Amino acid sequence: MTEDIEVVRRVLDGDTESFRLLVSKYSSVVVRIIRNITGNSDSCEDIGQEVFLMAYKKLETFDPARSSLSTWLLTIARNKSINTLRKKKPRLMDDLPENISESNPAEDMVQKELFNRPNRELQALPSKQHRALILAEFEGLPYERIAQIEGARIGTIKSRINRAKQKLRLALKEFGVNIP
Amino acid sequence: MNYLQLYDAWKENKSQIYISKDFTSKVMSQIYEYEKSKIRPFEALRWIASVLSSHPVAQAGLVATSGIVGFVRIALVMSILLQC
Repeated sequence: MTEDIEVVRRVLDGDTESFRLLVSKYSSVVVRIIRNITGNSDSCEDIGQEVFLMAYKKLETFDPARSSLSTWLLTIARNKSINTLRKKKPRLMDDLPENISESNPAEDMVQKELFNRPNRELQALPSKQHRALILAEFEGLPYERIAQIEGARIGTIKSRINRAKQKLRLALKEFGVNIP
Repeated sequence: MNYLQLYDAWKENKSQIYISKDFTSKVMSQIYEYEKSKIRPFEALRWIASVLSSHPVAQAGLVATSGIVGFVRIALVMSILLQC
């Protein structure tokens, strides 16, 4: 956190190259969240690049007293993903990470088939519940940070996550998947 | 693999991402491009200033143009005043 603020200060002082450190550090989480929200693994890197460019342009508006840099970046990523979804219809998430496919294609095909159902159910969730579940379950973010990113109260976030889990549980019951 | 394991595997799958190796470089080149575009207007002004300072003909042309513009403005004001 303190390191990030120091890097931000250097970038604002004119050391553009220091921004590379922030891109390297947060690229995975930013692109992953974009992919999981938009359900599109083809364009998530392009959107991720736009997110970092926007973050660079708006870096002066980042206030360390209000949030951490990662929360600020994820909020931009979330907003950019929502705008992308508004522009075009999302695709169903049926892709596996490319690095897994290199290991065992046959096993991956089976896994892909198995993941198809939960992917569909996830995509069918209302957008606010969908995003809350992604941030909590896939990113493991605490409720407080999700509330900051979503601009909602912690209670509301808890309720969205519970409702999303409940819907997933019901939908996958016939499939036999037990959700903890 | 039981169903609980399947759910965990699905969650694990969603927590993974493969990013191209040149992602950071692509972002940085866009940022440098943006920085260049910010500097461009000032570069154009600097170029005009350097041309004017090094070419006497350009200086004379600028003075003549300014004189003509000034004369036209005065003529327009005079004609408006005379019409009133």
